[in-house]
Amino acid sequence: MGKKRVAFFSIFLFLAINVVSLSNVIEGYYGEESGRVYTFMSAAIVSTLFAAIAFFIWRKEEYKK
Amino acid sequence: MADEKNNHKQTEDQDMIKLIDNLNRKEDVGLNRRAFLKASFGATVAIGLATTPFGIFSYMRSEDGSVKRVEIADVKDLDIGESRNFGYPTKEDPAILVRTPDDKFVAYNNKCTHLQCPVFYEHKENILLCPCHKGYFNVDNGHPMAGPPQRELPKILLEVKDGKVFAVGREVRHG
Ligand code: FES
Repeated sequence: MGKKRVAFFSIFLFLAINVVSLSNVIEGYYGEESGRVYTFMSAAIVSTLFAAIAFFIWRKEEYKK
Repeated sequence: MADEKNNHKQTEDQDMIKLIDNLNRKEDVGLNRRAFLKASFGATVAIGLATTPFGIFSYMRSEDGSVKRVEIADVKDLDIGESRNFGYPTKEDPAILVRTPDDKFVAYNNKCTHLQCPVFYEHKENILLCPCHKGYFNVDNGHPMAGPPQRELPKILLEVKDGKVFAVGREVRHG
């Protein structure tokens, strides 16, 4: 039960991280700051991966039986 | 007669079942926890992947040299200890180019990180000064030295080529 809840709520956390990252990537891109683009792009990809893991954990628990 | 009545009752029952079925399904497809989480997950993935084109384009433009290059000055036009204003990345983003006493070129966006007054180069003390509230910045790295500003000035990356100084990028530290 605990695992499922954590997985459930962590997806919203990763969603928030991705929103912030996307806005930073866009600002970095138009502000000619390649460093900022790469940093936040990596952050977004990592958090997307974690979100996928969390989603599969949640799905496994949710549809168990 | 009784048969007919029975039949009638059965169809009525079935109609009722259909009605309930419908209600449940609507609830199921619409606002429920599972669908909500799935939609959120989908949005997370979509937004996360939306960052990659920017990374790719940014990489491509630095590879093929199509970075936004702005010619700022001729090396010989700017003596040691002099400064010049320009705009980068757009004309509306004020910036300052300084040729430091040890003959290096440095450039920063010169909006003060306190309340956005323009920052000037003070030749005698070799320092960047914001006159509004006496904010001082280090010329070599843009760090605040004294006064109200807490954050560094955004640094502009330079390239000196064929006797000309170009701005080729920007580095904003600490937002
Ligand atoms: S605006 Fe520069 S010190 Fe206040």
